[in-house]
Amino acid sequence: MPNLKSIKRKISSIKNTRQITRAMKMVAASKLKKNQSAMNEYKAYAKAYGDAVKNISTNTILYSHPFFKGYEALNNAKNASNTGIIIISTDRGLCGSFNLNLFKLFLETIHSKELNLNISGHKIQLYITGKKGLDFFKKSAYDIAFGMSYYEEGSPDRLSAILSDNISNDFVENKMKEVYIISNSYVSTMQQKAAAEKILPIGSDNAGANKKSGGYLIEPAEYEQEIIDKIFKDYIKTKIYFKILESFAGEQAARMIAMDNATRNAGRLINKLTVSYNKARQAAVTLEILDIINGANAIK
Amino acid sequence: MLLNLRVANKKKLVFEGEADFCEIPTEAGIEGIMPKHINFIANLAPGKIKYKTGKKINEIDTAGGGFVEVSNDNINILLDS
Repeated sequence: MPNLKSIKRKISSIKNTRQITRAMKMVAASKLKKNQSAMNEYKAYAKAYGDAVKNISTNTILYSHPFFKGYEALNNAKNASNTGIIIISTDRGLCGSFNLNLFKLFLETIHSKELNLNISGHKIQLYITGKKGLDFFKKSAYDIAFGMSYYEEGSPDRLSAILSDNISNDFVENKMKEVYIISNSYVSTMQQKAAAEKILPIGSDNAGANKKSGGYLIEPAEYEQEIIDKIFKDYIKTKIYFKILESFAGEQAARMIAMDNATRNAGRLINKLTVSYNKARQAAVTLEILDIINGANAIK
Repeated sequence: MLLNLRVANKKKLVFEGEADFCEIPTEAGIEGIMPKHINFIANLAPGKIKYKTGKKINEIDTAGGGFVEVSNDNINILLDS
């Protein structure tokens, strides 16, 4: 027979846990609202920027910039066989499979692209934001070129600026052939989807083919390179910043759902334990009554 | 023929729609854009973007800087503020 006291202790400890998970759910819900509105505010800017860069990338005239696929020097470079992968994870856990989905996708991505560690001279450089991602990849054999958690840098805005600077520099110096970004995109509160996206080089294979216009006039012409350079570097930053905002919103949504489930499971467990507690108590009472009756009968 | 104008800053989409005419303050001077304008890219200078929709002329402040991209009668203006 299970001990009455131990069951009671168990019930009270689960009740405490339930209280904590319920509070965490509430905190996540309020943070979600804040992060969601930050993401929605920035969405229009990110989209307009993306469209503008897409327009620019359909122009062959600007192929003199190193960020472009058609850039000659890049194709001729011998040592540009590395691949850069940016992973946007979270600082904190307790958000279901949010981070795990990222790591799974990372392994799938390198598998499908046949980027293997065994191929000599081919390295994968990781750029990681978020403590959870850092902890995970520290144990692996991959080369971590950049790793930072969000609280280290204070604001995600500054973090994305530093990260994009690092990536553009490494890319221009021919350290990498391609750069991908793996992050959780925010579909809805109930659904976050891990997705991999190529951010460098800009432009698709047939970029030159669907050329609609005769190039651009860049004004003032003497700063042409600087203007284009700034636009593209800011584009990388905008992209990363938006992904981080998306990930923030998704993290809170995932945490809210995970904590909601935990609260519900705790309630279910309490019900189960209460039933067994009542049963045990009833058995004890019955036993005591039997003892008394037996005692009374013996005296007669 | 109308211009498709889109103006966004980091907080919201300021304007999206069609305009007859658009005036943009750039580092190389104020640029007046009508349909069939040559494609161009420029940094914004502090001033006011003016655009005409119907008979009304609207204004948007560009104090924070940014850039403009014009291609095939599509205007994308990204404000840094």
